[in-house]
Amino acid sequence: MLRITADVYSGRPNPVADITDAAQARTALRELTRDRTLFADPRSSEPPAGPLGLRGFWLETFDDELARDFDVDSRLYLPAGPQAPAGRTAEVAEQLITLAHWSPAPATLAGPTQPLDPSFQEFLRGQLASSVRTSRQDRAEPAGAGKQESAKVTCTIEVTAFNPGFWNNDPNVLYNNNCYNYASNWRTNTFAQPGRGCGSMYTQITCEEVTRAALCDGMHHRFDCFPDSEAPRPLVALVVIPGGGDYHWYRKQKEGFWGHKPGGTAARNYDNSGNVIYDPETADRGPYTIFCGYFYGCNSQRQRIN
Amino acid sequence: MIVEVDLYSGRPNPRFPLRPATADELTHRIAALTPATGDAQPRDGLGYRGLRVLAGPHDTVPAITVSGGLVTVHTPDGPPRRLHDPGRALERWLLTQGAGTLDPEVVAAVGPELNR
Repeated sequence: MLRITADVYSGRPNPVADITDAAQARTALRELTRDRTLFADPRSSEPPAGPLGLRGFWLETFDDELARDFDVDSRLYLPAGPQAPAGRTAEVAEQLITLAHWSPAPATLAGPTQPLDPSFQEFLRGQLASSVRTSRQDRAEPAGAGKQESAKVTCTIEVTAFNPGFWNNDPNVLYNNNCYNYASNWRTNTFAQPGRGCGSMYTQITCEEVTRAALCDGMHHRFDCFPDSEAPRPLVALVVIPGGGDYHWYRKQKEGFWGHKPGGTAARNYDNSGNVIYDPETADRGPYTIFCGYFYGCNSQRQRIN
Repeated sequence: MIVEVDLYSGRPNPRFPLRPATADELTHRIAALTPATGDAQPRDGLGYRGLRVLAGPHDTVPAITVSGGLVTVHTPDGPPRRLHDPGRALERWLLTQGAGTLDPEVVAAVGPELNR
């Protein structure tokens, strides 16, 4: 048996998910431990300290055969909070959430448990999403020397860890989601177009018209702040090809660089010259030489895109 | 078969259909190619990347990609076959098949890229 314990509560016992079928447990453990670097130091008996909310997952084996076959200790800990390494951690955590039916903590190691409401998986997914997201202040530079910055030009935004695997590993996701999906951090599998979700798609590809369509979907110009209820509020950038060929979007990532997804190709954080993008205004953007500006996405905007 | 010009990032890529006789010729031309050697990679990034051949009009996952001297034949089971397209001849020939269908602006945008 393989037991997964979500390290999520502070006062009450943490919920567990048991995989009792031996073959399923073996398959799950093989998949989950493929990248050992994601797991905390096995010599540590305590999980890393973390904030309230989802901090990680314990994986426990109950027989020495399974532990020996995969060369693991009886307990493994996968940190999944903000302190966790970016990238594949979120994928493995998502697998753990989906793997089995969650139950309240049993009184004994193998005590009988009643399954939790299926919405608990959604709760854990929400916790995971917020744990890989960080809020930051996005502050406008003073317009001139001596001019005091106003509180009105400081907005709170959210940045998430770069996670290209989410976009690249499944061919259907890869080919059916574009730069606007990536910038909005919302997979629709429809090659989302600015304005189509709000019923007023762009009519030509210029900065003005694509901007109008994106604002119609619910984006804001940079420094036109969204309230906290609209989190996540990513910082994104729009560029176009002169003459109206096409548009392209970038999204600021937690690590400080910018990510993007050129059409149905892989999400990445580098430009056409192979350099990591720290400034989309100066990055090698190929034919997309017109820089239109910066915007904020938001939760209702991403759910509206199509 | 449908050929998609992998050109755009935001808007959908332009496409053109292949007549059955042309699709047959494509199959014969691919059969004549030799395996790619070394670490040849398809063109990537913003701008023209190559051509994708789709089995049907509703397909989105390509069966074949032709890009930068490399032809990749995707198979449902097993790894894709990588073939050498010397001088990008197959890519040029395939693009020519869409000349009557594609927007002249697309052809104009791709032309210079084929010579890079």
